[in-house]
Amino acid sequence: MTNLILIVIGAVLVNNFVLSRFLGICPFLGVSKKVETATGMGMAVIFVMTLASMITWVVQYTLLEPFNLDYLKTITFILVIAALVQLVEMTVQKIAPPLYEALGIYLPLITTNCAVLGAALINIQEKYSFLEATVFGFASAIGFTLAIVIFAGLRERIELCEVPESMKGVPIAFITAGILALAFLGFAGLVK
Amino acid sequence: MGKAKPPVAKNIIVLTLITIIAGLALALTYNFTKPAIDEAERANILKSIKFVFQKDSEGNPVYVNAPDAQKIEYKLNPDDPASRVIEFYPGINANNEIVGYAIKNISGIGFGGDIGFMIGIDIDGKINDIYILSMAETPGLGTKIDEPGFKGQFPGKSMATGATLEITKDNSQSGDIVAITGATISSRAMTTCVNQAVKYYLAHKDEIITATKEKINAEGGQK
Amino acid sequence: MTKYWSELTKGIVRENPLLVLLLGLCPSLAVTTSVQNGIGMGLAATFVLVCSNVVISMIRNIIPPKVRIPAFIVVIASFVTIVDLVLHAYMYDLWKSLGLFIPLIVVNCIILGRAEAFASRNSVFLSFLDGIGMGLGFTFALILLSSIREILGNGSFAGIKLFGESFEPAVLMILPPGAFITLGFIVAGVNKLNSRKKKEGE
Repeated sequence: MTNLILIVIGAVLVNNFVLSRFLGICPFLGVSKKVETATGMGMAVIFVMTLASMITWVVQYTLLEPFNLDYLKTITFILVIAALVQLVEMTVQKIAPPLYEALGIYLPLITTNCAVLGAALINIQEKYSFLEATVFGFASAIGFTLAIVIFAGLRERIELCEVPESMKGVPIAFITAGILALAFLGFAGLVK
Repeated sequence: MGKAKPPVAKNIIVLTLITIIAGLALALTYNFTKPAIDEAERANILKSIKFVFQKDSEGNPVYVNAPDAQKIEYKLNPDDPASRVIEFYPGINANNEIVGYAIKNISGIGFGGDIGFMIGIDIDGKINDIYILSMAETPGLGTKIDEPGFKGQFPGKSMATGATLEITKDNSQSGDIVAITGATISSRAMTTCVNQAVKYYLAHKDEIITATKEKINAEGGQK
Repeated sequence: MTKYWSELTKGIVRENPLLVLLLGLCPSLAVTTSVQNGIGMGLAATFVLVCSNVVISMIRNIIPPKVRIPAFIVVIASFVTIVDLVLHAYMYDLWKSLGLFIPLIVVNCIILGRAEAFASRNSVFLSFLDGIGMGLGFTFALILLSSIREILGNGSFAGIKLFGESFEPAVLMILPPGAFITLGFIVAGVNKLNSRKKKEGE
């Protein structure tokens, strides 16, 4: 049990996917202009990442490892994720059209969200058990959502500020992210 | 799509074909690079063993065997099937005597994940040198454990009396190893890992030496 | 001829994938703690980019639009695995230091982005040039980013110590926050240059 709690704290705060592992930066910058869309994206990632962690774990230990096909890991995992994202996309389109509108092109881009593939690969690398892998996938996605929602909140405020011409938009966002990462650095050493 | 086949079938066929071709290409590359990969992994282990072993006056390692052929593995926690493994690579000199071991041990408490160490000891458990096989510590901070300023504190240390290497944060306190400023976690991970490896050796010394001798005899031993 | 030249050079400055199009951020931020890593990552990504651009351009007419993305990803993932295996076999040290980020080239948005935006619409030769240009632009940006971070954060360039013992490196630059802040300033600098060029053009 303590083990699982450590995984959660580690993935959410200490080794935050976005701010310390640099996974999932593209959506982090792309859909963080508004808190609303950021939250939606976060939810989609939580859903996809938890499922992807579970499925890729099963694929790894029932197919790839017994048949010695470890070198096909990358290609298999990415296909699983791509299929999963397609599924989520269709579901969201049916159930919540406004959300689908808002997330726009970023939903298919979860496929290329390295956070999802990253979580799947880290699960295998760290030799997590099925339960640990699921928890890690879920917690990492929570960490992603936490970071992107905080960041979106900050960006909404920056919009109203006077910023030097050439710093407007992306550059100031990067520097904000840097300061946010600095704050998260304070969690270093919390676990381990 | 005004084709005769329904589009769904075409989608599936094309995608399947592409995947099959990709799979075949990968299988070919894998088979082609496999020997070189094994060789590179083995060369890395041998290099690290050579690095950590005692050298004679001309700088050549004192062993004459191929240590990886006589490797002995133990589970750190025998009751746990997923337990970490500690590996002992014996060094045997020209007179067929065991001169020491290179111990491969992995620390699970590094700042950036696992850190793999190769620790060279003589037969009495005195540390000769340490080689870092793999780490993901923060560059410029945690990676300093691989620099002489920190790593150089280990060689010559002996735990034969049952002591543990103690780590301290600054020079004024008593301790065997002074931690790196700003990288206490990495420093502690390395010290703990070295302690664990050497203590394991000292506690199981007879067993390990017997097992090594058996391995040598099983191979016909004599060179 | 000018057309080919322009396809080749556009990726290096005008449409630099990292600094202008803001693609491929994850590996750029993560591996640029040292110049060697930056170069290694840049070249590995360039190789994958060129190969996948060429192959995708070759098969662009037989792929049904609906399964376009999965098909592209399969092609890209194959080349990434090949790079992974080859580096592991022949360049062990580089392979070790790039670590997790080799498989993650698969999800480097630059590669899928170019496949989608360029290779699936243009001839093989143009796609080849586009791949080389974009790859070099990416590599160049990585070298710039990693030089700044390594010099300030570790006091060295490509592993060679530049300053004396008394130099106290700003370790922050090598830690994650430094990556964001450095990139922020570089992008601001590029914006500044571009707006000045525009003014001159008017």
